[in-house]
Amino acid sequence: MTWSVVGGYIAAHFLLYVCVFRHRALFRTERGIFLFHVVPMAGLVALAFGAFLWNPGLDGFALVVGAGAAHGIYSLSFLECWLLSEGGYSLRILSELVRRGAATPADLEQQFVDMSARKKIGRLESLLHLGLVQTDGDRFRLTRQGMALANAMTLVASLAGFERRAER
Amino acid sequence: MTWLILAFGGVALAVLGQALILRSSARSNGMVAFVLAGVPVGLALMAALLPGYSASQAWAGVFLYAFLCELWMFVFSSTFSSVSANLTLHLRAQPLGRRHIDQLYDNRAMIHRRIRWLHHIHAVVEKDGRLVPTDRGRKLAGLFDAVRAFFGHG
Repeated sequence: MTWSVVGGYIAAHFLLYVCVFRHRALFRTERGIFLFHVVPMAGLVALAFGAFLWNPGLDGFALVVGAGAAHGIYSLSFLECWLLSEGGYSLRILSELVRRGAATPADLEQQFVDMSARKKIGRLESLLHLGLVQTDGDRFRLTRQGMALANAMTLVASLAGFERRAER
Repeated sequence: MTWLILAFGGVALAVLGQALILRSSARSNGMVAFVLAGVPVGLALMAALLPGYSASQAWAGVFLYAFLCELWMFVFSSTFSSVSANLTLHLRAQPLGRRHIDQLYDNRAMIHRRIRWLHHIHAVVEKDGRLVPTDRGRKLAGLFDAVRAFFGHG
């Protein structure tokens, strides 16, 4: 296995999406598009690892790491664009403003207030669905995994010298 | 295996550089600070890896460094801009009821925050009490619409 195989595999994955899968409803869902990237990435790494086991050596091991990293760069870039285009709230407001030509803040408020509510409920449901948050009577609390994630994010914030500067 | 250590060490150095830039200037932007630290480290890493290792090992190190940097930028930006991440941080402090969460993320306030951000990036201006997109805003919206159409979200 060589780098050209890795490059070809990634290019084929993208072309397959462009030509076939982007028109399918499943690939317009977060779960569908996530699996569309994670499964082939695992496949590529497994393929490279198989080649490494067949012919062990430092270069073979480098190819396992490099293939995973190259697919990771591609998939992360792709998924970021996908997520931004699917849920980019500010950009949706801007797009609507361009469509209208001009609008008062009150007009936009009226149009997007339902979307705000849906977004908030959707995020809370996602956290529940992912097992990061659980209900405790009428309150919501973090699960153990949720607490681990929150601690990791606090570490990220403290590394950067920020207090909780996240959007409220 | 030193190429692997160099790649991880490079990321650690870039993150440290970002932290130092952010701590030395309160007005710094987190992403810009990381790029300022990460690009020279990446170039230095390439200069160290490409002549000293086989092509496979050198490029694996470069790809690993680039991937970890991208992953860090994603985690970093999500921590500061994602509603889910912010809600998680609030819940870390204490369990919250639905009403409390509604107060934290008031629907109208969420919209006004976005409008302020659009002002901040010069995508809109205010004229006679109305918001008007700038040329920059129109280009950005056009790009956004094209990307939405590509992914079938339009």
